[in-house]
Amino acid sequence: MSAVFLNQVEKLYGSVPAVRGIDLEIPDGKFTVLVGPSGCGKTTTLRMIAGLESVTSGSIFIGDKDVTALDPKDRDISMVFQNYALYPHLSVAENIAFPLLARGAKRAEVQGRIEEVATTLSIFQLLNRKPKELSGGQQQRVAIGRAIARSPRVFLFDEPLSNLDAKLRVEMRTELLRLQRELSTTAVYVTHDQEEAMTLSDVMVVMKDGLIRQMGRPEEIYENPIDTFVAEFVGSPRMNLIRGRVEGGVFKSPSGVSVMVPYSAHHEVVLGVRPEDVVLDLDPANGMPGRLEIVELLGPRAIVNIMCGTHRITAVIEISQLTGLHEGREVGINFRVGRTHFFEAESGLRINF
Amino acid sequence: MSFRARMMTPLLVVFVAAIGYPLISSFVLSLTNYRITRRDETKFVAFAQYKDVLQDHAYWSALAVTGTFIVFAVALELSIGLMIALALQNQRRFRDFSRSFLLSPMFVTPIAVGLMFRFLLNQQLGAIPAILEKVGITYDFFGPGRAIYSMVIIDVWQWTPFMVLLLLAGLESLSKQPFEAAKVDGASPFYTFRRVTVPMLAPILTVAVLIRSLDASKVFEYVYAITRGGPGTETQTIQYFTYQTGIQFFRLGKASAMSYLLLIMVISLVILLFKRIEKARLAS
Repeated sequence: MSAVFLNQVEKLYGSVPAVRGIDLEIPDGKFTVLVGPSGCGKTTTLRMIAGLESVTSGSIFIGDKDVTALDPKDRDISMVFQNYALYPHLSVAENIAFPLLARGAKRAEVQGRIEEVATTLSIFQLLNRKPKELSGGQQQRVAIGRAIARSPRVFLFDEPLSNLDAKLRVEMRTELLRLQRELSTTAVYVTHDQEEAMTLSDVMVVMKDGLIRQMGRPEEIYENPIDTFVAEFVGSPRMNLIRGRVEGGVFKSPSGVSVMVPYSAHHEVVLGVRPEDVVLDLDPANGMPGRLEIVELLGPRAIVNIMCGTHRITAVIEISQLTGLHEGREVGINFRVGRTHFFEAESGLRINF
Repeated sequence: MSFRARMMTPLLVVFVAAIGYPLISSFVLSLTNYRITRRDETKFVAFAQYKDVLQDHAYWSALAVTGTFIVFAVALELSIGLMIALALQNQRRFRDFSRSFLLSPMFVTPIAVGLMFRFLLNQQLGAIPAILEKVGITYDFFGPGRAIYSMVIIDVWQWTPFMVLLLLAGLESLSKQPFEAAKVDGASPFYTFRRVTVPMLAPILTVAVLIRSLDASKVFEYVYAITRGGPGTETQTIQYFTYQTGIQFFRLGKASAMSYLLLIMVISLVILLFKRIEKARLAS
């Protein structure tokens, strides 16, 4: 177990920057998730920690050891790859044993460890099979088995669940979390899926364009997104962002949205409100008037799209509150008090009152 | 006649005329004692020629010479080829240039290669023995006990590039991820080579060895151009022996029987090998 430190780490491909000088401290024993849209540099960052990509400038420490110039094998890490990267010619047992044997363990010594790992991951009955004979989920389990066979200082996960179907993904997510809690080994996990990031992370790192936009506990980031990008990226359905102007303590958008603001300066701003903070009233007179466009049922809740002037607002409401609401109906829209966010129109940065 | 059959007709006609007829005709010849110089004495002898060939010590000795040649040449070509392919795989600059440059020996006609080496290695006239002489080494490349290995060297010079080409294509078609996994898993380059590269490349290695072995079994030009089977019969390969019997000594009946026996041996070997490849493929 060790913390990982990135100091001003930069990666250029030719003259194209992939990572633009980031500072990052990945806490010891915690599950840290790097999340962001494709091309944001998250995978490159992970691969630099692994040593599979060279660092253009800056340094990487694992614990107190500078690993910047070390080969992957000398960094004491294990990695789970997106496409599993199993050795196709080796059986499951041999795949799990590989990192042990490669580091000089004797065959007789590793048998016990293989069985332990296989039991932990419920793949005991697959030990003699070849990767080709396994389903995607089983292959991913083997890949995880190979990663935990040794006790490395850091686990690295490169979008390990993205090739699995939705149901399996949720199952494996829980299992990964359980495993990490059990082993309490530092884990760095890369995903483009913000939901996965929210559920898995102790620490969430949101990246964009090779830079870290925000870092913190997932609920912190959800509650206080630092800018409009993070606000929109984190949370599903995404946060409603409405551009407008604050004048005399009232926010007004050209589309007809108006909200009281504890804020007096005259200013171009973006108002943000999470779909679950949008409240609908059956009486259009109670709140901003809007017309219900589409209702998508999600089981216990529903996603509702409302046209407010020219602006489309998304709301998430409990199924019980859906009574009387149907597509085409006029409603009143309110935002929960104290649950609105404001961002500077120009820079997109959060305005704190 | 269906459209499909009609479309195939030209190919079938060519196939029958160019391959079928000589094949059958030589088989018929092999059942006679046909000699160009005594055509009027030709008579049907059934499998007597085959029996004769199988009892001929020289035939077996030619087979052994060919076998030695194949084993040494292909083993060297495979190991050197694999080394070069591995090196080229990691090359960054001048890739296309060095690749095409390395492949050039393949494009020289074998008889020319034979002639070239005949002069290069000739003890009296050759450049290489002359250079060796200057550093105090006297070495007769085509002397007793050596000639066959010199032939091997020539074959290695000409055909290693072919190995490189095949293996490089094979290496580059392998998925990169297991190699990255091996790096992270702590495998040394040699361990990765032994436990990942070679097993993953195995199907291509097998095909490469098969193609080169079949090709090497046809070795004729070097022998014809340089040693004519000598010293003694040390470099008398099966193809050269068959050529001598049929074309120099005019015993076409016997030469046909020799060719057929060789064909049977080669085909049996190829079938066996393909069965093994298939079995290995199904097992993985």
